[in-house]
Amino acid sequence: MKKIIGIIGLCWLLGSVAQAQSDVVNRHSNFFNTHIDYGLRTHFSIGGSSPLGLPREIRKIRSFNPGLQIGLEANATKWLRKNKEWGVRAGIRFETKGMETKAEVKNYLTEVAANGAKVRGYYTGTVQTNVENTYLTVPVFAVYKLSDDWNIYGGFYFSKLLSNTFDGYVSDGYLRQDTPTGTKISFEDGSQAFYDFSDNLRKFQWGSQVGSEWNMDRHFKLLADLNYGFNNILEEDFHSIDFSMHNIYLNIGFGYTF
Amino acid sequence: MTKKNYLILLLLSVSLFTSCIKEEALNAEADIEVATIPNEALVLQTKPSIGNNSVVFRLKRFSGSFMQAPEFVLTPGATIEPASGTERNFQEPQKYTVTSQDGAWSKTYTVSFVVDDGADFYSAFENAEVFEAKNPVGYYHLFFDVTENGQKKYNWATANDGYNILAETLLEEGEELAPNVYPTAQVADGYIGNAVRLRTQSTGFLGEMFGSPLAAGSLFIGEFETAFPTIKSTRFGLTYNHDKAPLALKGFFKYKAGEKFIVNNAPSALTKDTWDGYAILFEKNAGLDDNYLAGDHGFQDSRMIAVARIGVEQQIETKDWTPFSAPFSFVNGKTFDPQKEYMYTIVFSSSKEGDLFNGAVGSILHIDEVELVVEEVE
Repeated sequence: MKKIIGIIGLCWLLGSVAQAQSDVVNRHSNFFNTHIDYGLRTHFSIGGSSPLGLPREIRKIRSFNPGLQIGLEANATKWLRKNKEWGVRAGIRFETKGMETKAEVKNYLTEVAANGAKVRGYYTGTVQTNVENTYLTVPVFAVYKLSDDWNIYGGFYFSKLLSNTFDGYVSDGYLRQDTPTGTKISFEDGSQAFYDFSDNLRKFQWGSQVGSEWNMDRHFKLLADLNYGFNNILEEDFHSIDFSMHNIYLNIGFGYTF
Repeated sequence: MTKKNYLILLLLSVSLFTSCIKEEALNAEADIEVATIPNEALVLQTKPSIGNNSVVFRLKRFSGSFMQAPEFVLTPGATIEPASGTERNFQEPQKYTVTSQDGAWSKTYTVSFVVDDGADFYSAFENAEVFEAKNPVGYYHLFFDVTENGQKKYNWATANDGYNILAETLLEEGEELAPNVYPTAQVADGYIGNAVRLRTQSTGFLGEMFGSPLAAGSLFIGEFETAFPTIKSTRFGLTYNHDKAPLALKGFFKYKAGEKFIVNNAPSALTKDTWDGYAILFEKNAGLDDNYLAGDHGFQDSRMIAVARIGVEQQIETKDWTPFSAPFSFVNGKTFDPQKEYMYTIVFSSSKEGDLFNGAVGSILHIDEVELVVEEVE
C-alpha cells in the first residue's frame, strides 16, 4: 500500500512540475510548450497471464479473480500540428498486473521444482495460480483525434519487472511421474503441493496497447485500452509449463490533462 | 465510451478466454483401477492390492487349482491383453498389458494369486529381491517369504516406493540408485543371516514441498500405495489367520540415533530420536473395503482390540543385537472372539515420531528375527 501511495505522490509531483513549467515558460515558445499536453492517468486492469488459445490440457476455468490491479501514469502528448489531429505520446507508468485463477487440467505437463531438484510429470486435477507483478512501463503511442470528444491511440509499451510473484498450488488431483503411466502421486483430502515460479519471470516485457479516450471536459477524460505482451512472461529457458503465457489486460480509467 | 460499451467489451474479453476450451484429448493413462473375481468376498482375504504395475489377490484357502478368470476395470477407453475375464493358470504370476485410449502409452502388470492360509508369524528377513521401478527409475528391496505352495508372498511393506519419487534428486555425489540409498533395505550380518536396516533420511526441498520433510525408515505388515498426505500411503494390516489372540511381539534390534533431532510438527514428546516397534490386532470390516489402518491411526482407532508396543526401556541406543519383547494388552474394552475375523499389523520405524516427520536424519534401526507370539511355549 505504501508503494501505491508513493507512486500516486510521484505522479502528482511530475504533473505539477509539468504544469509549473507550462505556466512559467509560456512566454518563450519551444518544443515543450507548443502544441503539447501534459497529463496524468490512472486505471484499473482486468486480465491475465494466459496462453494464446487455451491448450487442450485446460479443461475448465473454475474461478478467475482479477484482483485490484492499478496503473498510474504521467505522460506528454506532442501534437504535430496546431489542429491537434495527430500526436505522439510518451510517458512513464507504474502498474500492477495480476490475477488468481483456479483451473481444472488433464494431463498437463508440469514440474515441481526446488533448489535444482525437480519432479516432472503429467498432472490431472486443480491448479491454483496467483500472479502479482509490478512493472515500470514506458508507453510510446500515436494519438489521433477522431472528434472533439474522442481520441484513439495505439503503440508499444516497454516494461521492466519491479516485483514478481507467480506461484500457486495443485490439489485434488494426481501427478503421473515422467509419463502418463508413471507412479501416481495423489493429492487428496485437501493436501496441496506448492510451486513458485516467481524467480523465473522475465524481467523485460514489451507489447502493444490500443485504446480510446473520451473527453468529458477540457481536463477530464475516460479511457479504455487493451494491451497484449509480445513475449512469454516466463523466461525462455523455463520449461515447467510447456506453453507460453502472455500478459493480456483491459485497462479502464480516467485521465487528467493540465 | 459509455458504461454500456465498457460492459460489452468486458464480456467480450471474458468470453474470449472461456469460449476457447478445446476438445478433450483421449485418455493417456493405462491403469487397472479395479480387479475382481467372482465370489471374492468368500474366497479373498482382503481386497486385491493394486500397484502401478502389479495386482495381488490373496486367497483364503487353496481350492486345488490356480485357474482364475480375473476381471479388470481400466482407465476409461483403455484396453487389456489378454482380455478381462480370460481364464488363466495363476500357479505362476501372469502378465497383462494395458494400452491407453490414445494408444500412445502402455504398461505391463504382473497379476498373482497367493494362497496364505498359514499362521506363520515368524520373519527372518532372509529373502529380498531388487524391485526395478520405472517412471521414475529406482532399485529397492522387496521382502518376501515363500508359502507352502512355493509362491512368494510380500507381507512386509516399506515406504521405499514413496521415497523413490525423489530418490534420484536426493543422491549424494558419487552415489547411484541402488537399494542401499533407500530408507529400508536388506543387509547382511543380521542376528541370524540377513536383517533389515531402517534409516531416517532427508527428503530435501521437494520433500518439504510435498509435505514430507523427512522419511523415517519403515517396515510394516500391509501395503504401501503412494498418496498425499503421505501418511495415508501406509496401509497397515493383513488378515489374522489364527483362532487365538496374539500374546507378544518379539525380535532383535540395534539402534543408533541421528545427531540432530528435527521437529517438523510440534509439540514433540522427544528431544532425541528413538525407534518404535508395535503390533496391533484390529477388527476386520465386513466385506473387503477399507480393511487397513492408515499410517496416522495414532493408536486411536476404535477397531483396535489389542496392542503390543515396545517400552522406553527398549528404546535405547545399542551397537549389539539386543532382544526386545512387548506383551499384548486389550484395548477399547474388547476381547478376542475366535468366531470373528481380524486383521493384524506389525510396524517398525527408525524414528518414533516419523509419522509426524519428527526425527533425526541418520537414525539407523536394525531389525531381525521378528515373531508374533501366538502360542504359549510350554
